[in-house]
Amino acid sequence: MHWPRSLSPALSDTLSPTMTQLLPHHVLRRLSLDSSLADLARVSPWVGELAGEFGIPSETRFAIELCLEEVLSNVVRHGYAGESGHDLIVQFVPGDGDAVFVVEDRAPAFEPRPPAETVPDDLSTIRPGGQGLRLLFRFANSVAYERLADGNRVTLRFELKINESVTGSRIDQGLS
Amino acid sequence: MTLTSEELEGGITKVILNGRLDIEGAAAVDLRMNVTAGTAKKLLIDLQQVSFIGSMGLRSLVVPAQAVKRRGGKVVLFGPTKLVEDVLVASNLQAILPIHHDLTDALAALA
Repeated sequence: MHWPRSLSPALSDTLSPTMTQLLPHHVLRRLSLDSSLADLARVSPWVGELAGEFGIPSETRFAIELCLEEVLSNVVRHGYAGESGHDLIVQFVPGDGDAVFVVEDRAPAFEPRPPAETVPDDLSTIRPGGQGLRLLFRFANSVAYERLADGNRVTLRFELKINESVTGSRIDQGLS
Repeated sequence: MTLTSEELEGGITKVILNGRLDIEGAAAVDLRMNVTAGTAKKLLIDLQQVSFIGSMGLRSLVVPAQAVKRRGGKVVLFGPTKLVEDVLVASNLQAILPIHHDLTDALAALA
């Protein structure tokens, strides 16, 4: 099996069969972050660069930024208990008609699961910070979790919705 | 992320948010939002210039709104973009925090 050069050996060794099917033929980008909320500010510009390069439509870009913010902030605040200095890696895998983002950490096990669907009947009953997982499962087309030997891997897949600002040929060029 | 506020007729406080209500943006406006909500009875939160919102940004809306409502006040959201409104709806916030796209309707809801 030939892996892209930028794919870490540790990651390639532990990829599931599903992930190997998702792997790109030749393109993969990686963003290494510190486990601090302040460093997460680097994610949006990075996604913006990818969106420009690969013709990711604005609606999909919004969903990607939203879901990455939810996953990454969850890891920082809960997985690493707000402590900086830990590893947090995001990898981008463009595919045919979709974009896949893989988030890896070295935090204690945490599997994101969709919360129960509830409609609050009063503002006082809503938990101010309890919407992250709901948004994650609503805006990503799929969310997959794998427990690694020493961490967690969350794989997010987004379908590339074509809007008026992105031409089909651009997507074909970027993702073929 | 910037926040400006103005007092309108009828005792309505209008808060205008501009920028990204992500983690960084939420942190930038949380204090002023809470201070404003500490005295407002009728709060209109103008979201027309908000280009992004995540769960931390939602928190920046919910906490002040809860403070106003606890004192018997009213809160409405005004003019979110489609994508921002998608997040509000996905969070079921629209069920308890009315969203208006017409300013006259928004003001009437606070009357």
